[in-house]
Amino acid sequence: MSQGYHSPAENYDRGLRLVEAEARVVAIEGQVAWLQPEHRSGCGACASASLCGAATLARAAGGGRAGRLAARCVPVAADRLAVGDRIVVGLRDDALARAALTAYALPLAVMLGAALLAEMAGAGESMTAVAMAGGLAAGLALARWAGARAAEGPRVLRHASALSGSTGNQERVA
Amino acid sequence: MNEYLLLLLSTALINNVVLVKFLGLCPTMGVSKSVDAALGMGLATTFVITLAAAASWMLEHWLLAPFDLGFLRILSFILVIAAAVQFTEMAIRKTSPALYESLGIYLPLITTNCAVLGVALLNVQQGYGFVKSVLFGFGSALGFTIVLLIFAGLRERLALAGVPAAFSGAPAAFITISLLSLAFMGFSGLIPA
Repeated sequence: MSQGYHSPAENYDRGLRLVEAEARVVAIEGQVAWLQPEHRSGCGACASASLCGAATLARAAGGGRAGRLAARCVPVAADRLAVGDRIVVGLRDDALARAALTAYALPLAVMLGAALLAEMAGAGESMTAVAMAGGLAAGLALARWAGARAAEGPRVLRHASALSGSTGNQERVA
Repeated sequence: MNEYLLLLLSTALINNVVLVKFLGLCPTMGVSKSVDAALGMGLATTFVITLAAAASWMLEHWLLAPFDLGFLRILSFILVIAAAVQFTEMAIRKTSPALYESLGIYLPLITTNCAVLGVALLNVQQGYGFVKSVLFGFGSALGFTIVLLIFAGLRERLALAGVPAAFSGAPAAFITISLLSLAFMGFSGLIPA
């Protein structure tokens, strides 16, 4: 992953299409910044958020050690960022599609393959279900391995205050 | 094997869950503005529907039917679907953190996707065996993903087209999906009854 900032013009010149999201810097250790995504789940974002127990728990766990554990470790140039900064990070859309295929399609294919093999081998329904569960576990392990090999993390684009209204939208950086 | 292929073809194209059974219309309209988001949502839904089909088959045949607890079917299937979504969320968080941060927001939406419960209930009605039930779920979800991707591609092109102001946005999307539904009717004679 490249370090530091890429200006919008640089991204446009390279024809990159990025999916963007806002994050907050929660800690800096040497050259490594810990980023806390601003919107980590749909829970708490709906109209009933004030009455929702799950959202309250998520808010309570948002700071401190639990928040730190949920944060992501992203290497960036430390002199550009400070703790508390809100920044916009971007992920290439083809990387996103590849990650979706690895994380969802691979375990599913292994799971279905295991179930079909067990069925063709003449196993009963209970044994086919066990084979399917085994295939799912193997597929998830394979997806984790493949995901770690082809990992391409998000890159820092700019400070969130520099451009408003850019959260979560997919747009051409221009 | 031929039987399984016909089942997949039938559930994905001929009895498409969105365009023929009219299930899962909310995410079809809501998450079809970009192809990448549609791919993520479609694959996540495919994963959950297939898991839910397997889990609901086991629940039906090993618990609800033997103990005559059919009145708990909808309640227990909703529980199974919510558990499958939570499991998927945990698995994706472990396997692909970048994907989780980007598409994690769609995962809770799957719990309220009526196609997931609809497919599980239709599965019970069909009375299939285990593998056929799983393939029925997978084929239905595949059909959902295909429609979502085609529709998202059309909407991306529509966004650049000169649509009259009165038709731009939702009206153009509704007209487009109705034409898509008509097009899918062409598959209806593919497999002789």
